Amino acid sequence: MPERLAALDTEVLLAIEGGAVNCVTAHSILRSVGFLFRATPTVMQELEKAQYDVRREYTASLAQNLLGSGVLQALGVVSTRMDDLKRDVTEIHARTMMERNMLEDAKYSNDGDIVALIEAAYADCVFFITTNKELLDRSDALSLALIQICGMRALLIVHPDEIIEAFKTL
Amino acid sequence: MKKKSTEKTPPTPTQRREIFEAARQARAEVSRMSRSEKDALEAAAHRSMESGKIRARETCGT
Repeated sequence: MPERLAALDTEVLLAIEGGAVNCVTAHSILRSVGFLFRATPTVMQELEKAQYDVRREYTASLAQNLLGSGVLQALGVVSTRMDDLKRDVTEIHARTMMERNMLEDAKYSNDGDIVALIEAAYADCVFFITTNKELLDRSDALSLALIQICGMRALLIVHPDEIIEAFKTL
Repeated sequence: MKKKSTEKTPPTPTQRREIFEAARQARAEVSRMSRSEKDALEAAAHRSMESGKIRARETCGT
């Protein structure tokens, strides 16, 4: 079976490390059917940032664990840095998608969300697993935009619970 | 103090909220950074992972 990749959003990785049942279960299910996982460059940067968040000690400790103890490797999560050309292209695509107001009326989302999605698509991920409702509510439009604007493969933006539901017959 | 990975109890709703808010804040802050600042963050994250590997090997005695 060819290797398949799923990108894990920052809060999903943190929740897995924290033992959140739905995130851990979704991760285990995908792993059992041969998926490997990606932490995109944006996610790595955010984990690094989160581990020094002094106002949120619990989350900071989870980020520290993920980065400092080989936990990512044990979870089957790989992260590779992008070269300058890919980063330039990612920024151009992100700008185009923001100009088209893909996240119109979103309260929290910003261009970092778009960048994370493009990075995941660039890495040939099949899934972008997130609990961000504002991305999930726009998942179809965002997936189509990745194909139409960026010329990338389809990327399904899904909640961990959707993975569990979809694979529950396994 | 680090939370040990092997001692996991599921996060409480409050902790789940904290995780989500921390991730949102990190995303907002990172997205405002320059490329060189992002580079520095990512490099630091990879350095941490590398040192983690070394510690793991030392622990195993290999």
